[in-house]
Amino acid sequence: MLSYIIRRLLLLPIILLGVTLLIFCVFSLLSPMERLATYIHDPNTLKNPQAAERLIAKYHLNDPFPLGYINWLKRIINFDLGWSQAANQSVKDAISQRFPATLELVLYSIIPVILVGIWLGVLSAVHHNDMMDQTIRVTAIIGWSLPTFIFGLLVLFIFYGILGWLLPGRLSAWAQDIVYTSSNFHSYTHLITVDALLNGNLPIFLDALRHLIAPIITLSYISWAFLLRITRSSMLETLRKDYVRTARAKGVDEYTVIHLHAQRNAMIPVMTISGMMIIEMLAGVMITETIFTYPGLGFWTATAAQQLDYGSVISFALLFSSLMVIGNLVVDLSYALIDPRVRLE
Amino acid sequence: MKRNFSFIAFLCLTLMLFTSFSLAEIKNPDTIIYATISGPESMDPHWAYDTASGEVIYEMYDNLIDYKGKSTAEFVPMLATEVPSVENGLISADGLTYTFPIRKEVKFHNGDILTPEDVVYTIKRALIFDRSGGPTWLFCEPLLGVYGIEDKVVEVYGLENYSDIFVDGDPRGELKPEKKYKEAMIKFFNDYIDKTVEVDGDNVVFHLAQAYAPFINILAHSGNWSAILDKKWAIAQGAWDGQADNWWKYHDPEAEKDPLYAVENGTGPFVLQKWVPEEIVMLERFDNYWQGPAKIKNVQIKYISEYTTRKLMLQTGDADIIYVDLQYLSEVEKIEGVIVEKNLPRLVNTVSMFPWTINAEGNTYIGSGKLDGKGIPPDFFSDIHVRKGFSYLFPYDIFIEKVAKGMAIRNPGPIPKGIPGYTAAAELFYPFSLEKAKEEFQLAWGGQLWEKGCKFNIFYNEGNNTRKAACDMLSTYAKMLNPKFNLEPIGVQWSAYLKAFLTEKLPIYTIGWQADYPDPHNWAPVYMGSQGDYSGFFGEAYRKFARENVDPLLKEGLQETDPVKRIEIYKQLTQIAHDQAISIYAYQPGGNHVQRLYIGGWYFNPIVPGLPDGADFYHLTKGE
Repeated sequence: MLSYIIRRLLLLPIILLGVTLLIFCVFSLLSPMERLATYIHDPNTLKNPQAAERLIAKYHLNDPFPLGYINWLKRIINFDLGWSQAANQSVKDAISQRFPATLELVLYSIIPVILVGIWLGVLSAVHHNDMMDQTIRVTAIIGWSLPTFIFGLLVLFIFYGILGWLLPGRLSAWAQDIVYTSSNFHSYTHLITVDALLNGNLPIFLDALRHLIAPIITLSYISWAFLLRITRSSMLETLRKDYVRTARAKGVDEYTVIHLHAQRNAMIPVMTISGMMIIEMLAGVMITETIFTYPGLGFWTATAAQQLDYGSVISFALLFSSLMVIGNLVVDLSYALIDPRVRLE
Repeated sequence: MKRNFSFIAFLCLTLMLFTSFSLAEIKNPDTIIYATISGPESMDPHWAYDTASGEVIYEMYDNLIDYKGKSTAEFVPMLATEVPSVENGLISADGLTYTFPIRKEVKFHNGDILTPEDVVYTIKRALIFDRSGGPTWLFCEPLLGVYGIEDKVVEVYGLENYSDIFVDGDPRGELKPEKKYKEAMIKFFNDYIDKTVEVDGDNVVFHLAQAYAPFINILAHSGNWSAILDKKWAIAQGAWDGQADNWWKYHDPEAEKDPLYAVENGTGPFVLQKWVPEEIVMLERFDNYWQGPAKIKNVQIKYISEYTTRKLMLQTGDADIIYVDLQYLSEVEKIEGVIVEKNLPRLVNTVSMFPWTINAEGNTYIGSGKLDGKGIPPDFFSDIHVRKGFSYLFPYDIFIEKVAKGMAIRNPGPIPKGIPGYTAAAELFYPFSLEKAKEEFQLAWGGQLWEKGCKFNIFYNEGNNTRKAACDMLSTYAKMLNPKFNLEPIGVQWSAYLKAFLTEKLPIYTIGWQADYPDPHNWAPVYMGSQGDYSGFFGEAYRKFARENVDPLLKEGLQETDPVKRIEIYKQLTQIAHDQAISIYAYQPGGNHVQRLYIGGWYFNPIVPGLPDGADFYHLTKGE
């Protein structure tokens, strides 16, 4: 297994090179003047045509593609990811500011998404075609069909606007004051709930949690729906297998049949999908972040792409590709845990 | 049953409590929270040229003078103890020398005391810094007579490009090794930069390269570029060290190499506590502010792109002031406890432009490139009848009523209302008249245009629905007038728009301008000068016309010290804009301000950055 892991990890630099080369190629198709739009948001800042030329030279927008890519690679080797025009800070700072926020959101979302999604999927399969199955399926279809934007706004409107229970953003004003400016609060992980506990500050922990609930609900509902359908489908197929019928015929209790025999075998496709979902969520969930003003990766990368901020886009691609490779590896490793027949070679 | 009822009653009570809790009290009583859309680019006054940065720098830094209350024409002393004028002798009769006595005992946020040397350093640093696309051209023009310091170096030494004196042509690298280059650059500093401003006892004296009527405006508090830095502190951060022998190393840096990008040390009423880019700016009251501390202890400016979220924050009291786009204004008016100030006179306008010569090379926007009904020739708009025809064709009042919801006014020329030189003479406004448009088009191109028709694209930047509506209206009325007139509105991404603009390939396009300072010199050259920010891209035919007919008046207006005579000059320019139908001066939009009732002290001055959406937080109270 160790050699399998090492071999997979050795693929990572090759994949990263390929991804960055591809993105660089795409951006190189734009002319220097088009790429200048990253730095100029209004032509009135260019006092004369020479100003545009100076900016193009300043940011090396007219460098030939190989030279540009090699210069970028040299900077990456020195851990210099460049400047993010979209974030108005270095790319490194932009990622280190935003990734923990996304990570925190995803970590808290994983539990309801996976546990509830699988639980409901199993429940639905076990009660195939009866009232419970129909109800769960209708709920899933609604979640599947409802645009994130609409559902998110509904959650925001009801739970914040009317009830005042949940809040947008990451922290309340008083908590931000402490977290951002107090010398007594130390950010160890930049996951605010974790840091709050490490600082022994329960009010901030609760405040941060309160701000997380609404985006978690939004993310979870839409993700449950998808996972539920996959789980249900996989469970139904597994429940039809001969060994399940044999187990029942031998008098094994239904709980053991479902949870020990059938569910475990049904989990392989579910694990694949879950793994992919988590990785995609780690890339940032733009709409949820926008609605709830949650300062994660999603909104930043979407803005960066829109503004042709290719330095940010490439760096994000590096991060996401790395997560994808490692995530896929973890999923593959989990197959071996679930199904002892699987040998990773 | 009884238990269920009790439980339900408890639930309802809890619900009511939560609901009422969120609305009754004033939240965060010592903090004013302003929710707007996009964040600052930099805290460096010499870098920033965007409103978001300007409105934050405004709170942290002071300038030599300030505008008086709501006025854009009267000044009060700020870090200077007097406002210079010819009458008090602090402006020389020829308009080339300005003297500012500097206030004593003013503290920077770190405790340093302001001296005249800080002012001199600030100005020289601005000239040296002069980043591409930044605001310090506003100093270069009056103090050096050019738009940028590189232009001055090129002019003085007869170079082809500034980069010629650097190794590998990289101006951010090393000078060429020959001694003469370094000597020349040091000499340049001593002969030009050093002589622009000096300390004279307790005064700072500016020496201008040309008489420059709006120089006072450039120094006023609305301009972040003239915010006064603490020299000692700036040097300690890694900014220019004040020496002549290395100034070029501090010129036009990349953002990541600007040491003042994320830090501040002003004399203003607020101190920067924390800046998380695109998330929040946190300001804290400076208790040693020389004008007395602000009434509010903290200010938070939050950057929230989603309107619904901002609206709900206002409703629940989690935000005290929010930015609201015009299309949503009617919604917020209905919120209890919220006041909306509408149609405030902003110093902004939107103009649709006619380049007289369009670059035809590979240009698909002009169709066939000929006057054959399938396109237009590159010099299509050089015919005055074409321009006049379109000027009569735009439905100004309908646009203002339907699209701008009545919250805009027309301008007859490039100078908006509220700026000296503005004129509302009725004869200068082109009426919307299909009949007159038809007459003009029938004269255009010897009658060929009317007979053959035309086809071309008209532009707006994608996502800008107001400008899209303007283009759609023009297109519709053109088609109504003559079915052979095919104006096809096209929304393009900003990158494509910019490229087409810079390569002079755009036929009619719509764009706007916001005042840097409230003077006609900030408007007329932009829209009419041969080197104007916009008109400079109208093609050589226009530039030739402007050099002969416009530039002399612009120069005269700039250098005229008599305000009455200046106004007449700019009225002449407006007349030219009308007679030549240089552009469609579509509208000057009003602005809006939305805040909670318990916020007091808000006032509107159109030149203060961030207003009317935001505020001058120094004067605000909460709940008093």
